[in-house]
Parts: sequence; structure tokens; C-alpha cells
Amino acid sequence: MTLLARLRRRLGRAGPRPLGRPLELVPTDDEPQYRPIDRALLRRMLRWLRPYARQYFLGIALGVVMIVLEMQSPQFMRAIINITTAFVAAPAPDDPAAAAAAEHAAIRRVAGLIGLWAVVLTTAVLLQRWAIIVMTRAGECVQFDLRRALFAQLQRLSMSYYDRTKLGRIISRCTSDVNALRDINVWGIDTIIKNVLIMLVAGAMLLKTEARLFLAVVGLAPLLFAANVYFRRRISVAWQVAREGWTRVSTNLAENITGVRVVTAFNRQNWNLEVFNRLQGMNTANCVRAARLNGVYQPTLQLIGFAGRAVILLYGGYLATTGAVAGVGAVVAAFLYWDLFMGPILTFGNFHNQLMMAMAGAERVYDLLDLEPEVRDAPDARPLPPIAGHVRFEHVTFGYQPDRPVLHDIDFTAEPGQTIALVGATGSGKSSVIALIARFYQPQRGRILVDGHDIRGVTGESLHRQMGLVLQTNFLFTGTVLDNIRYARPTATPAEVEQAARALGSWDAIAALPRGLLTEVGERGANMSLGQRQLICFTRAFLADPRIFLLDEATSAVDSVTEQLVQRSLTRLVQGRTTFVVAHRLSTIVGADCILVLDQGRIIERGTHAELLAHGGRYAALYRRFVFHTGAAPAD
Amino acid sequence: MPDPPLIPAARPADLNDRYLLRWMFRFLRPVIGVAVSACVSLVLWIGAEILTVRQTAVAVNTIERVRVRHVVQPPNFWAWLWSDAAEAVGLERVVLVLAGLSLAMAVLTYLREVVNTKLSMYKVFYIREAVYDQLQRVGLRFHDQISTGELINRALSDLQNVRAFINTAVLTTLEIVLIVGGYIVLLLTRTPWAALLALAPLPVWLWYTVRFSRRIRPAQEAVMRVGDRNISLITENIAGVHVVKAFAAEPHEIARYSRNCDRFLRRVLQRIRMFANYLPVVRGISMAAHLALFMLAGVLIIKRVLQPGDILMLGAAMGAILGRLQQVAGINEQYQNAIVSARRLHEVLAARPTVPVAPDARPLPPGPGAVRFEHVTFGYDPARPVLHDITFEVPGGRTVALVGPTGAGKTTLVQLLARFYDPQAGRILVDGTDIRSVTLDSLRTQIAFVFQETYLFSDSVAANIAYGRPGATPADVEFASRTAQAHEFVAELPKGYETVLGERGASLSGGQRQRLAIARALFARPRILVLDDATAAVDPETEERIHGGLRAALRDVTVFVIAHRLNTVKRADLVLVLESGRLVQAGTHDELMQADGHYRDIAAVQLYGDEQFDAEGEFASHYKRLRDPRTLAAARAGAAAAADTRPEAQP
Repeated sequence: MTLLARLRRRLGRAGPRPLGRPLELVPTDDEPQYRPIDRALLRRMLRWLRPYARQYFLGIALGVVMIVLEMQSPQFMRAIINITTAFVAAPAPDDPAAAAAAEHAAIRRVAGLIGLWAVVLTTAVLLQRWAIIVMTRAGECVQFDLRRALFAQLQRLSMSYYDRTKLGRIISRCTSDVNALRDINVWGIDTIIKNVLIMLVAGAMLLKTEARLFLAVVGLAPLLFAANVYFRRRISVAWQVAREGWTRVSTNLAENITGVRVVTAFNRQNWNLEVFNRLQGMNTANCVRAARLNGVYQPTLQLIGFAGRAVILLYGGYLATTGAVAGVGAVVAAFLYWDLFMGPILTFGNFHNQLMMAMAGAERVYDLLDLEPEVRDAPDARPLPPIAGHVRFEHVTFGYQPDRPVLHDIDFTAEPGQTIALVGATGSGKSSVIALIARFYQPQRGRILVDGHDIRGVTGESLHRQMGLVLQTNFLFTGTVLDNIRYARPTATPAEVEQAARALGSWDAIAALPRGLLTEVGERGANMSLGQRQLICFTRAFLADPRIFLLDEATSAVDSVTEQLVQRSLTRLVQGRTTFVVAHRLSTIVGADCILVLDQGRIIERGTHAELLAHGGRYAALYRRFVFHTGAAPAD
Repeated sequence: MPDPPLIPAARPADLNDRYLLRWMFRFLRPVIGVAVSACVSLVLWIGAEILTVRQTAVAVNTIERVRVRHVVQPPNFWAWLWSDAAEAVGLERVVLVLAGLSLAMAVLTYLREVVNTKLSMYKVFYIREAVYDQLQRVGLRFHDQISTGELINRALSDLQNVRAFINTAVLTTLEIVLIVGGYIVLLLTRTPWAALLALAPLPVWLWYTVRFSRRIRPAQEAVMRVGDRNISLITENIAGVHVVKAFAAEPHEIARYSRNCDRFLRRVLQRIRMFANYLPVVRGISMAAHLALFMLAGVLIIKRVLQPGDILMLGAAMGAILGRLQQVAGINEQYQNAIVSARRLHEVLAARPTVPVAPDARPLPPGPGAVRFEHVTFGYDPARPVLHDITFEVPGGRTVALVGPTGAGKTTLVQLLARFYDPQAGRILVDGTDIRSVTLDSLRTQIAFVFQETYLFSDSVAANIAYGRPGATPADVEFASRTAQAHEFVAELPKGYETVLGERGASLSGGQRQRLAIARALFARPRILVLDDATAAVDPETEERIHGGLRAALRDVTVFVIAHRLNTVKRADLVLVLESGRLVQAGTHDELMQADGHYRDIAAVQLYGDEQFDAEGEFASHYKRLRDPRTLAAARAGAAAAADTRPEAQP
């Protein structure tokens, strides 16, 4: 009953009023929500429609025939009215039998017309069914192409795109923006064509029915046009404001739910509610303002529509009574054509608004599709031949933003089969070294050689086939454990997978899962322990049998049994491979063939554990300070 | 002590559809006045529309009457119109009435547009206010149970469903009844046969449209399911983009996604086919109904029962009736959706606060900030405690460091302090008072938090810092900011303290965000300050300066600090070592380093610290951003919320 109490309380006291002050729209650097249509955008749209041009043309042709057929209805109405009124107006024969015969004849003629009318409409309906299937299928196929192209583009784009684009935006591109495009490709084009055709055909039929009535109402067309131009922009802006206001309401709400811990900790409930209600009041005011505008716009159009009706009735009445047109049927037909002509205009405002919103989404999707990846294969890239695993950094300088380098002049060589430990304080650039070897980014200066080949000159595919990677996040895809392990080699059989896992020593842990290899991994592998996920990732890398292995060691602790298992597997995994490891465990560091100590993007010391201790530099100092604080040697 | 169920056990009898329906209609109460005026303008509008249709028929009949009489041959139209020829006068009068009706319709259209919008918006205002407030106050255990995305969904789209349904249930139903009834009456005034004939197709029509809406539902759900799968594939692909690239699995991923696109297209086409098959049938029924009426009209005109204008009226009436009845299927569908949504909304609104305040709660009395845990046991799930029998005492003004591996219960422990959760056993005292006996407001204003994940709001920097005490002076803000070493970078922002942050504003690095969070906590002038891994993303040098500033500013404040860097821990007056929810060691750094135990082991592993500091500044790399799995879920929820940005009142 809390709700009811709250509502009552709300009724009883002068709380916030639901109607606040409307929002004044200020330009922001946000993504635009509205986009007027221009030729450039239209051209980009048409490029995607072209493969289905035949379907679209067929759909349009069907639409023309269908609309022309449907537009015959007023003609039938006119004929029926004329026949019946002529019969009623004619002096009845004196002979009852002749009168009955004449009546029958008239009824038969009406029945004949109704029959013909039924045939015409049935044909139109069947054509419509066909047209719907043709047009919507074409539109959905365009959507299909777009969706796939978008995904393929996301696969092509470099890591830097992912770095600089907010996650929510990437997801929006693939969801709401693609759906906005659907509004255009599937029903937008259909609606535009149909409405234009209806107006054209209705106008033509009006002209054909009675040219004088057509001329009498054609003067209203500029008025309609002017009213549309006047209101369309204003309404568009009003809805834009309303949309913005609504975005603020929903953003505020989402933000406070997401940050509920902070809200609770800082006791902000009352204040937040006040802010929220202010936003809500603004939203209400915006919507009411838009409704007011629309409430003027619609009746304006209706009144112009009425003016047309009045002209047709009065002038048509004059023409009919003076015998200038035969029968009142023509007046009725003209009246109906005018209504049909007005129909699309009355719905145009809203449609236009939605179209502009869709266009904004469309443009963003096209822009994403046109983006060129920063790291891509050179045109003359050759496949990398099978390698031994020799890696050389030659004076590499790199920054995620070119003007802010995070690695300065990095220069080192790793012999095949060596394990290189990267150590250093947080932010010293360890992960960046790994990312460069994986060719996620291109260095700004210097080059990276693998077995003597500059990795810029080889195809990414051939490079990555010989490379394995395990990151802290231990990322697993939705699917079975089996699918995850053979991710790099989808053709591997379960037997091969088992063999690999046994060789690595991870098999027992995998077999212990509820359904073994066929255990489903939940979204982000949530239903597995950290250790299990790590072992699966190791097995995945092991099965790929890379020459170069990149590892960002996990920081979080696992229980000691799993920890031993992980360590044992890791030892086997790195055997015979050139391994780069961002090390967080002392044992990993101590066991490495070479330790690179990084500080603020520079290598300040290098060598084995023993060498570095003997050297007595930064590494030795750190090591002594923390590990030998109590004189006890670390347990590694 | 068993925890009370979070959401009151909904006995099926309580939460049946009828109950929910009544519950939804309660939302109308605060706006009953607007609702009544909306109904009145609807009734008037429909009246005007029906009279317009009637008057149009009269106009045509008038023309026909004078045409048949054929009295004069006026020279031209204008002369005819202005003459006092009876027929011209008659037609003028009819058209004048029509003009009056059109004007009335125009005014009523305006009224309806405005009043309907007001009804819709005012109503939703109060519901949303209630939901918002409830979500703020219900307690964190509720938020732990239902994911953020799901809650946002409930507060946005479920609420929209309910709102749309209430509108429909009131206005659309009324409209359907009045239109159908009104036109039938209109037809009855002309001839009972027409009314009868108009009623004949209605059952078939209604049956078929409702049946179709029921049939297309599974097809629509299938489309949605496959569509959702598409989105999951994309989200996952984005999250795992490193793995995809590192294993050269792009072709594999594209093939997988394409397969799902194929499935999606097939489902969509299936739905289109269903619709394409449905359309000829309904249009066939409508056509048959219209043509039968026209046939009847033809015969009756010949029989001199009807006049030619009536044929227009019949057509208009039939069209209006069938058009409105078609909406019945939509109402049914809306009802189904609204019931589901109402149940989920009810769950939110009816949830009991998870940390109940005693009826006789007093404000927390002043004191130095001494904290005492007495045999505290707590689990998010009462069956699985994450803290076992924790007992310790801290005098006011001291600094306590909590250390231990991930998942040891450090964060949980500090959250109990501010009653984010209540322990299942034991009690917590602040300055000798059991925190369960004081008001939540007074307790929480005394405790400030800097959380592990920094959460800032899309507002100005100043507003974010002054979050705990809105309405403070800029000088206060700057002071807190300087203490937290944030002033320097804030001053460099485009608009300084007025720079807007967040999704739609400037983005800051992790370390900068943490410093703002520290400033925010300082600004609240707490008695107890909790720093939960608050400087993990700050470089060590700045961290030193922050701690220096804090020491000066917080001489009398009790500080709980969860940290991984030894330097931070070393400064504490008391170090508590937690492992698997148990307090395993307590003492100063020096004492603990001398003793054999976990602390020394932990200290050893801390050699190079966590890799959380993002040196890339504003460009936190994709991979680092994704280390927190919640990031992606939040982004997805955000994108979904943003997708539904069509202004509410838009038709």
C-alpha cells in the first residue's frame, strides 16, 4: 500500500507539479538525433538498395496498378448513384408490370456494377499482397546485407577504434541505428511511394471526373504546402526538444539506478527526487508544447480539407443543378477523391519526423561502414612463413594518441623459445608491448620484426595463426567448453582437444566440469571459477600451438590447488615457445630468461633475475625492500 | 535471525490478473480530473464527427433534390450563389452547418491532443516518481537481486506498457464503444436494414483479427529472440575483440554471425508472409461488408427509402466501425503486455525496504567516531555467510587498514558500517550506539565512501564534488578538490569546475575520477571515512600527496582503508587481515611483519602492484575498460535505454 499512500500524500500536499518549464534546446556536441535528407545521404542509401532494384521496381509497378484499381471505387459509387437517382427521377410508368420491370432492370444494373466492383477490388487486394511480399522482402534483404556488412566492418576495424569509441555507442550502432534504417528500408520507402502515388492518382482521377471541380480546389494545394512547410519545421523542433527532455529523464533514472550505492552512501534521495521531478516536469511541458503545436497543425490541415469539401459541394451543387454535370454522382466522386488526396497529407507531419530520426541513425551506420581501419594489411602483404619465434623490437615508440607516447624507444631481442617477463609499476607500458607484438596497434616509430619479417608487411591472418594470447580477463565465448578450446582451430575433434588438454595437464579440471567438454559457458563464463577459466584459456592457446605466446598474468588469487595446476600447465605451455608475459607472480619473474624492467615507457633494466639482483639497480632495490623486509625468502 | 523475504511472498490469489488490473487503475486516481475532461472531449469529438458524416449526406441529398426540381438557369456560379434562389439558399445553409461542425471538430481536435497528452504525462509523472523513489530507498539487497539493466527496463519500458494500457483501456475502449454505437444509431435513423447489415460482419471480423494477433505473437517473439541473439553475439564479440583478433578468428566470427542473420531473415520473412496472408482476408471481409451495404443502398434508393447521399454515410459508417474494431486485437495485446509489466512493476513498488528503520529510531548522537563490531556474521545469501563472527574495536580518529585477497570480505565489511546491509548475527556500534537503533539519514551523513569503482554522475565537476551536501560554496568545493589533488587537472578542464562529466561530457582517466571521488567524500565532512581501494588507479607519487592531504584534513576522522599498496597499509594504526570472511590477524604493520602469517605472504606478492592504473589518460584502452565485466552489461543496458528515446507522448 506504500504506493497508494504515496499517491494520496501527493494529492494532499502541494508537491511538485507535473507540468514544469519547457526545455530550451542548446546545441551540444552529441550525436545529432535528426538529419534532414539530402542528396549525399540519398546516394548512400540507394547504393544499398541497388542490388534489389528489380524487386523495388516490381513492387512500385504493382503499387501503381493496385492504387489505380482502388481509385476506381468513387467511379463505381458515381455510377450507382447516377443509375439509382435517374431511376427515381424518371417518371414512373403507369403500368405496374412495366414499373416493376424497370425497377428490376435498375437493380440488376446496380448488382452488375457491384459485381464488377468486387472483381476490381479483389484484384487490387491480391496485388497488394504480392506487393507487400515483394517490397518488404527487398527491404529486409537490404537490412540483412547491412547487418552483415556492419559486423564484418567491426571485425576489420583496429583496436584503436574500440579504444576511442564508447561501448554504448558501438552497441547502439548495431541495435537502434540499424533498426532506424529498417524504418527507411522496409516501410519508409514503401510509405513514401504509396502516398505519393495515392496523391497523384487521386488528383488525376479528380481531373478526369470533373475538370472544373479539379480547377476549383487546385488553388488549395499551395495553401496546404505552405501550412506544411510552416508547421513541419516547428513540429520537428518541438519533437526534438521532447526527445531530448525524455532522454534526460531516462538518463537520470538509469544513472541513479546504476549509482545507487553512491546515492545511498551520500543520502541523496530527497534531493535526487526533486531533481528528477524537475526533469519530469520539463518533459511533461515539452510534450504538452509539442501536442499544442500538433493540435494546431492537424486542425489547420483539416480546415483546409474542409474548404475543399465545401467548394466541391457548393460548386458541384451548382454544376449538378444546372445540368452542367450529369447527376449528383460526379459530385460525390469528386468529394471522395478530394478526401483520398488529403489522406497522405494529414499523416505527413508525423511521418516526416520519424524519417528524420531514422536518417540520423542511417548516417551514423554509413559513417561507420566507411571507416578505414588504421591497422590493416599492406596491399603487398605476404603471408608470414612458418617461424621459429625470433622477435625483435627496433627503437619502437608508441602512444595510443600519437602526441602522448606510452612507450619510448623500446629496443630488445627475444630468441626463439625464451620467456621474457615484463615488470614495472602500473602504467609503465607492459601491456602496450604485448599489444604491439599482437599487432593490435601500429607503432609511430621503429619497427617490430618476427624472424626478420617486419610485421607490417605480412598478413594479419598468417601472423595471428602463429600467435597465442591469454589475457587477465580470461575471456570465454558463449558456447561449450569444447567450442572455446578449439576456437582457433574449429576443425579439431573432441579427441584431439582431449589429447591436448592431457598433454597440458588441464584435462582433469575440464573433465571435472558438470558436463565435461560439453559444459555450456554462460555469458562471460560467469558460472566457472577463475582457475577453471584460466585453464580453458591455456588449453585454447595450447591447441593453437603458437610459436609466440603472449600472456597477461591474472592478478587475482585462486585457491592453492588450482594455483599449482595453473602453474604446472603454464610451464608446459611456454615450453619451446617465445613467451612474453606481463608478470604478477614472483615465480614467473624469477624463472624468466630475461626480465625487462619498464618505467614510464622505457626499459630501465634488463637481464635475468640473478643478473639484476647482482646489478643492484631498481629491481634489486624493490625486491629487497619488500621481499626481504623480514629476512625471509619468498616462497617460490 | 532469518531474513524477512525481500519481496513479499505473492500469494497467487493476491497477484492474479484481476488484482493487477485494479492495481493499475489506481494510478488514475491522482489525475482523475484530467481523465474526465479527456473523456468529455472525446465524446464531443465523436458526436461532431458523426454529425459531420450525417450533414455531408444531407448536402448531397439537397443537391439531388434541387437538381431534380430544375427551376432556374442562373448565368454563373457566383450569381447563383448570391441569388436568393431557394435551392442555393438551401445548400448554403447545409454547408454552413457543415462549416460549423468542422470548426467544432478543429477545436475539439486541439483539445483532445492537449488533454490526452496531459493525461498521459501527468499520470506517468506520479507513477515514475513512486518507482524512482522506491528504487532509491528500497535498499541494496534488492539491487543485488535484480540486475541494473533489468531495473532500468522496469522503470522505463514496463512503465510505458502500463501507461499505454491505461490510456487505451480508458480512451480507446470508450472510443470504440461510442463510434460503433453512434454509427449504428445513425444508420438506424435511416433504415434498420442498414444497421443490421452493418452488424453482420462484425463477429467474423473481430474473431479473425483477434485470432491473427494471437497467431502472429509467437512469430514476433521468435523474431525478437533471434534479434536478441544477434545483439548478444555482437556484444560478446566486442568484449572479446582481443581474442578474436589474436586468434585470427574474424572469418569464423563473421560466419557465425551470418548464420544467425540468416535465421533472423527467415523469421522476419515468415512473419511478413503471415501478415501478407492476413491482409487479403480482412480486406476481403471489409470489402464484402461495404459492397453488401452499397448494394442494399442501391436497392433502397430505387425503392425510394434512401436518398443518394445516404450511400456516402453508409460507406463512412462501415469504414469507421471496422477500423475501430480492428483495434480490439491491439487492446488485447496491450493488455497481455501490461499485465506482465504490471507484475514486474508491482514487484518493485511492493518490495519492503531491506534495512528497516526502527519506529523509535533517534538520530545518531555526536561522538569521536569509535566503531565496534561484535560477533558480526553476514552473507548476501544468509545460507552462505561471507563474514564470520567478526569482532574488533577502533577508537575514534584512528586509521584502520583492511587487507586480504580478493573475495575475502573487505568491501562487505565496510558496507555493513553504513547499513547497506544488516548482519544476520551480531551488532555494530558507532560511538556506543547500535546502528540499527538510529535513523538512516543521521548514520549515513556521518559516513562517507570512496568506492572501488568510481561512479560519477553526468553533472558538473562541482556538483559531483558537492554531491553529499548540495548547495555549498565554490570555495568549499575547491578546498576538497585541492586536498584530493584534483584541483590541478580540474583547472585544466575546458570549463573548470563547471565542466560536465559522463557519457555526454568530458571523460577523465581512472586516476582523475578516483581523485574526484575522494574530494566528494571529503566534502561530505564525515565522522567516518571509508576508502575502498580508492587510490588504485592513481600513480604512487600522487597517492603519497593525497594521503598527506588527507592526514591533515582528517585529523579527527576514523578512516577505514582497503588498499593493496604496502605504503598505504603501513601508515594505519590498525591492520585487519581478512581471509575467506574471517578476521585472521590484527595489529600494526610492524607487528604483523614480525609474525608468521598471511600478512607477510600478502606483502610479498604486492611487489609490483595491480595493473589498474591506466596511463593512457582519457583514452582508457578497450581492453582495460573491459576488465570489469559489469562495464559491458552497463553499456548494453545504456544503449538499450537510449534506443527508446522516442518522446513519450508521440503517437
